[in-house]
Amino acid sequence: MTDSHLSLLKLLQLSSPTLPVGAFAYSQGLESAIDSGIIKDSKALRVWLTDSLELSLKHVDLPIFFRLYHAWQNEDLNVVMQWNQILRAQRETNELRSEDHHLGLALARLLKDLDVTEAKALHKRNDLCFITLFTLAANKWNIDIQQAANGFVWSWLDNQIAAAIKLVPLGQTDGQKVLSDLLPKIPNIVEQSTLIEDDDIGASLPMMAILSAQHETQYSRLFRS
Amino acid sequence: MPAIQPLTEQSSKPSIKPQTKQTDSQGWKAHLTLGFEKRSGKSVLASRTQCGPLTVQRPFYPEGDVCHLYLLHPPGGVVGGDELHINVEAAKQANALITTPGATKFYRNTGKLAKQIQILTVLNDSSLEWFPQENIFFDGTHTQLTTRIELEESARFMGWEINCYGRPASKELFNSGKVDTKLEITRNGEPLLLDRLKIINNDALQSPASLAGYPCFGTFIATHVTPQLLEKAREAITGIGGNQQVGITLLDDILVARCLGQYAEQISTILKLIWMALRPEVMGRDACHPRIWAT
Repeated sequence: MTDSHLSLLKLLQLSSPTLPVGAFAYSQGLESAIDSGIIKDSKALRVWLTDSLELSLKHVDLPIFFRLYHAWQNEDLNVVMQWNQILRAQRETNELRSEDHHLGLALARLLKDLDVTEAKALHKRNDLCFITLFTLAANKWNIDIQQAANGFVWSWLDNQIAAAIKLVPLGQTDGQKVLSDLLPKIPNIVEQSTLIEDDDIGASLPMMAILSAQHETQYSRLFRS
Repeated sequence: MPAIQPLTEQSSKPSIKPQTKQTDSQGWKAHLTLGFEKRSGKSVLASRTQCGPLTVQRPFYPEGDVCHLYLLHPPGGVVGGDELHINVEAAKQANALITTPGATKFYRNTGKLAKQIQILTVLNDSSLEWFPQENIFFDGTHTQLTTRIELEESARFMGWEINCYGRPASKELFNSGKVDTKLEITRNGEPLLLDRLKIINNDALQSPASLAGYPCFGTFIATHVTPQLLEKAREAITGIGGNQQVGITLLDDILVARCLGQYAEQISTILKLIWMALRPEVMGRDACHPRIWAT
């Protein structure tokens, strides 16, 4: 039992907003969506985040998450990098790609300092995706694949809600209400994404991509581009 | 495999195989393979194989070297069970521009998938411009449209894809059916951009993060774009009125412009402005509108 408790604690460490990778600095199109009036309240936020989960993460991030996890398990760095490049190519804008690479590189450096050997070979690459490193850590720390995927989605959602609280703005309690409403969806989405085959991987959100591209030149912004 | 038909500009009529349409449920199985090469300082359609109703008109040359070619889809559009393959290759310093004289229509079907697979290959020192008019996906269609652009290192490409869901002009909304579009670019086999949009019934059309109620979506792509040139493209559309939404970004050297609008024309107007701003630097020549666009 202590082993499973420890791996749960490791998952909390990996998913925590205090993980020093800088995720808090990015809004993923949310700032632009709020600025343009698409998200004005917690109701609209709930719709936006549900669609991001159902129409994007489920079809891109999660299926590739599983494949990366298995590739690390098999210690096959070639396959790891192939999926990393496929995930990278799915990022629709320079902003989304830069964010992913910043986070990926920051986590590679952190894992290197935490003595994850595999990260030593990666910590100088500037084309890493965050999930590539997240799945490496999950493997090394014996976190179950499905639990790790649930934790990853939670950390994404928590970060988006933290951004919305600052931007909409929303009260802390309203933010927690949205989180509470959406949490029950996560296990199902993770479960469904395990069924997606290689040929079916891929999805984009045109309006989110347009807003993210507009955010690259947005005059005054709180979040990084 | 049909034999390759050598074809020069002056040469004969295309050889079209006997019609291969069997029954409605079986659909067209059409192939068209086009090869461009530079010969004596002029880009020519050097080879063509064709099977089924996909065909091209005689090439013409409104701007010197560049070969302008019109691609013709099966008359009357694409129905369930149809499978259309289009392969284009630009090699040996050829410069080609392909467009279509009209929209491609994907009709309502009973769930038997209509497929169109377009593979555009551009080899070193060659260029391809790909500007088909819009695809119209009728309410109730089940369609898979794949466009894969395979580039070598110095290959230049500019092109767009404009997709309309339902027929907004006739107030016909896309309420049911499935449209799966893929737009993929690789360079030396490495994926540069993998864009995919699955529209299932009207969920994505309504979603504020997806099509946000706009029935038409256009994507424009150009290679060899610098950050300075990105600014030029953004300037080209600054101050344009209208209720469309546009975002332009730069992924490595690939410029991607996305536009949501009410009508295909609204989108092509914006994308043409971007094309005009980029063409002198990307292709080394000013924009020359294919004549058919004016009609």
